[in-house]
Amino acid sequence: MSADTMPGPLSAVPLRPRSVARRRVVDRLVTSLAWLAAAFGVFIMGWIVVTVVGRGIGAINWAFFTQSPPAGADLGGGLGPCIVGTIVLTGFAAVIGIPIGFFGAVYLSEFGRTGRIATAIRTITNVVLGVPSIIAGLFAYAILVKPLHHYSGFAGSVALAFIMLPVMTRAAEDVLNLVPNELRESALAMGAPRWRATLGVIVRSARAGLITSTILAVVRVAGETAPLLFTALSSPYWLNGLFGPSGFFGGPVANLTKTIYDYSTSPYQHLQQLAWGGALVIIVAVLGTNVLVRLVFQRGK
Amino acid sequence: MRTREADIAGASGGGRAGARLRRSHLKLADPAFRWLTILCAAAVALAMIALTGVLVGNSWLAITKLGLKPLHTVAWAPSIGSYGALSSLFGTFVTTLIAMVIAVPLALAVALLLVELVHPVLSRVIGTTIEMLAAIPSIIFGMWGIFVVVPILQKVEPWIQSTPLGRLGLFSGPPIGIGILPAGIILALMVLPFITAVSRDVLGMVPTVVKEAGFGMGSTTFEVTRRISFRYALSGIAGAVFLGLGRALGETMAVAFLLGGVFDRLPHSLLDQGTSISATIALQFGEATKPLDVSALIELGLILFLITMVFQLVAQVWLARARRMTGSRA
Amino acid sequence: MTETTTDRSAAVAPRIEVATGQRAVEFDALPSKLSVRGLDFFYGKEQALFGNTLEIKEKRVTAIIGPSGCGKSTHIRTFNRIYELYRNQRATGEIWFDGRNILASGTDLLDLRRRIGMIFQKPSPFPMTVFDNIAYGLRLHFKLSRSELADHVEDALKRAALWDEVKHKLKEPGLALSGGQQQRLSIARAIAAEPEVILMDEPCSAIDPVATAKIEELIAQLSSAYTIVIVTHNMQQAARVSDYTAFFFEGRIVEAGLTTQIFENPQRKQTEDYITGRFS
Repeated sequence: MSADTMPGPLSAVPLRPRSVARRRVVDRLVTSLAWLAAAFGVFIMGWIVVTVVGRGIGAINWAFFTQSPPAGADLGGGLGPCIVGTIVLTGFAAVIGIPIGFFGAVYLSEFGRTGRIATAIRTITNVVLGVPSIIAGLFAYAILVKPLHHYSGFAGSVALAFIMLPVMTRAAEDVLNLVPNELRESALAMGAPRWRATLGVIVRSARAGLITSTILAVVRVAGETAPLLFTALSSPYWLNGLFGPSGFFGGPVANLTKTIYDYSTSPYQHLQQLAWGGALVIIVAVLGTNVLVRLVFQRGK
Repeated sequence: MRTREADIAGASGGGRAGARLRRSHLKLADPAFRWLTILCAAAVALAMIALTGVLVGNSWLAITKLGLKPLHTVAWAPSIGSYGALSSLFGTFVTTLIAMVIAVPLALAVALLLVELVHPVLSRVIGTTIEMLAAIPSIIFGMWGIFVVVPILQKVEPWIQSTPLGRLGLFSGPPIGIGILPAGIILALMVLPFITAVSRDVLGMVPTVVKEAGFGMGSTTFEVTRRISFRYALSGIAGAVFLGLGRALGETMAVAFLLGGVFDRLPHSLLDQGTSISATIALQFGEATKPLDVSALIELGLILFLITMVFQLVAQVWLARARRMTGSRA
Repeated sequence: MTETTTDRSAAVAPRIEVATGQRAVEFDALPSKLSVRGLDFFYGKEQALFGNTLEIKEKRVTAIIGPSGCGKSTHIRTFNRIYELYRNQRATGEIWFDGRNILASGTDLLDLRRRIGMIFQKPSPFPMTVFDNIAYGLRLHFKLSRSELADHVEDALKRAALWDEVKHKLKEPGLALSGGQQQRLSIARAIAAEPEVILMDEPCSAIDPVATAKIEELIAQLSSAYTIVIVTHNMQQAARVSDYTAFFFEGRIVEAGLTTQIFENPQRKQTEDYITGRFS
C-alpha cells in the first residue's frame, strides 16, 4: 500500500448510493407497525377486562357471595362455597409450596450459587415452570385420587402446589440475588452463623421482595382450572370439615374456576351469568393483586 | 497482641461451660440449616422425577396393551376401542403453529418499541400492561374467546371465504366460529406476554456501545435492531420463542373451550373443529370408565409432558447461551 | 507501509522547524472541514458545553484534551449528532459542515453519519463475521454487486492496515479478534463507508500499548485522506498524533491552536498547569 492510493476508494467502480428516502420509509413503516402491535396488545388487555367487568357486574350482589349454587335449572343462588373453596385450596397449596420454594431459593442464592448442583436445580426448576398445568392435575390424580378412590380438595392443593413451587423458587432467588454481597459478608464477618446471617440479615433486607414473590406465586395458581379437573373436581356444597364427604380430604371441594368452566358452557342464561360473576371475582383478585403489589413494591424501591 | 487475645480468652473463661454449649449447638444448626435448604431445593427435582415415574407407571397399561397403535391411529373413540393420538397431536401442533405465527412478530415488534422507540416511562406502562395478559387465567381467555372472538369470527369467516383467500381450502367448511382458528388466535394472545417480556429483556442487554456504533454508521433504528441487536440477542429471542412454544403446546382450558371437541378425525381446514392433547384429556377424562381409557389418557399426558419438556430444555439452552454472551446472571 | 510512514514524517518534519507564529498563520489559511460556533450542550437541565467555537481543519488531526468530565466526548458526539439517541440531551449553536449547519433541523442524519464516522472507546465489533462487519456500512449505503463488495472490503481493510492480519479470518466472528484488532476493525468499518471525517473517542483507552502504537501509526497514515478528530486523556498521545489541539476545561475551550504551540508555549495558565501535570 502506498501513500498516494490513500484518498478516495480504491476500486475503479464508483459507489452508487442507495436511496436514503427508501430506507427511511421502511424505518417509519416498522416503527408504525411496532406502535400498532403494542396498541393491539394493550387494547386486547383492556377488551378482556371490560368484557369480564361488563358481563360479570350484574351477577354481583350479596347472595352471590353468601349463597350456594342453584340446584339444577333453578334461578338465584350464588358462588359462596366456590369462593371459600378456592381460597382454601390455594391457601393449602401455599402452605406446601411457599416454604419449600423459599428454602430452595435460599439454597440457590446463598449456598449453591454458580455450583454445578445449583445450576442443575435451577435448570430443572425452569423446566418444571413450563410443565403444563393439566399434567400437574394428572400427577395429583394418579397419586392421591386413584389409590384412594375418591376426589379430594387435598389432591387439588397438591396439584396447585406443584405449580406454585417453581414460581416461588425462581422469584425468591431473583430477589435474594439482589441483596448486595457486602451485606452478606459483613453479617458473616460479625461472626454470625450462616443460618442467622441468612434469616436475620439477608432475608430481612429482602423482605419486601420476598413478600411480593410470595403473593404473586400464590395468586398465580388461584386462577388455575386444569389441575383441579381430576382432583378437587367441584361441588355445589360448602366445605365441611376434613374427612367427611364434603371435607377437604374426603371429597370434591367447590371452587370458582371449575364452576365457571361448567356454568359458562351450560345452556342456561343465569348460570352463564354466575360464571361471568365468578370470572369477575377472579380477575379482580388476580389482576388487582398484581397491580397493587407492583405499585407498592415499586414505590418501596 | 498475643496478651490481648489471652486476656479475652481469660475473660470468657468464667462462662466456659456456657460457651461450649453454644458452640456445639451452632455446629449442628448450620449444617442442619444447609441441609434443609438443599432438601427444599432438591424437592423440585424430586417432584420432577416422581412426576415422570407416575406418568409412566399409570400409562403402562395402555403402553403394553396398545403399543404404538395410538401413534398411527387418528380417532380417539374408546367406546369402539380406538385410542388414536393423531387427532390430538395434530390439533396441538397446528394451533401452536398458528399461535407462533401470530405472536412472534407481534412480540418482536412490541419489544422493539419498548426498547428503542418510546420514553422509558411509557415503555414501562405498555410493557406492564402487556405483561398483565399473562396474569389473566386461561379459563377467562377461553370464555372471552367463546363469547367475544367466536361471534366476530362468525361474521368475518364468510367474508374471508368470499375473497380469493377463501379458495385456498384453508378456509373451507361451515363458518361457525369455533374451531382451529380461534384456538390459535387465543393461544397467540396468551403467549404474547411471555415472548414479549423475554425479548425485551434480551434486547435491552445489547451493549450501548455496539448500538451507538450502529447508529454512528448511519443506520436507521430498524436497521440497527434488525442487523445488530437481533443478531446479538438471537439466542435469547430463540429461547423466548421456545418458551412461548412450550406454553402454547400445553395450554388446556382456553383451547378446550374453543376447539370444538371433535376427537375422531383430523380437521379439514382452519375453520373446522378438532382437539388437542390437553383438550382431549380435559374433555374425555370424565367419560373414561374403563381402566384402559384412563391409562390411555395418562399416556397422552405423558406424550404432552415429553414434548413440552423437549421445548423447555431447548429454551433453557438458548437462554443460557444468551446469558453467557451478555455475561449476565439473571 | 514504511514508505507511507517516511512520507508522512517527511511532510511533518519541516512543520516543527517553522517558527510557531508563522505556522499559525499558515494553519489559519487551511480550509476548515467543521466549524463550530457557539455550541452549548445540555444533559437535561445541566449545561455541559458553554458557547464553544472551534475550527476542525481538513485532512488534519485535531486532538481534544482535558481532564475527565470536561466535555471532550460530549463535544465530538455533537458532530454526528449521536447524542440524539438519548432523550434528555440537547445541543444548540451551529456546526458548519460542507456549507450546512448540521445542528439545523432537516439534516439527513443517515447521510451525515456516513460522512462523519465514529470510533468508540470500547471496541465495538458487530455480532457478525469480520467480512460482514466491514461490509455493514457498504451494504447500508451503497448498491454493490458481490464482487464489488469484496473489493471494497479488502480495500478498507488494507487502508486500516488490518488486511494482512485478517485476510484468512474474514469468515470468523469479529468478536474473535484481539482487542487492538477489534478497534482497527471498527476503524476499517468506518472507512469502508467512505467518510470524510473520522471521530475517535478515546480509541486507545481500552487496549494495550503495542496495539495503541499501531493505531497511532494508522492515524498518521489516514490523516492524508481524512479529517480526524481524536479525544484523548493521554497528552503524549495528543502530542504524537495531532496537528492541532484544543484544551477543554469544565465545558469550555480554554485554548486551541497548533499542537506544538499548545504543548511548548501555552498562552493560558490553566493549559500550562494541565500540560505540566499540575492537576488532572
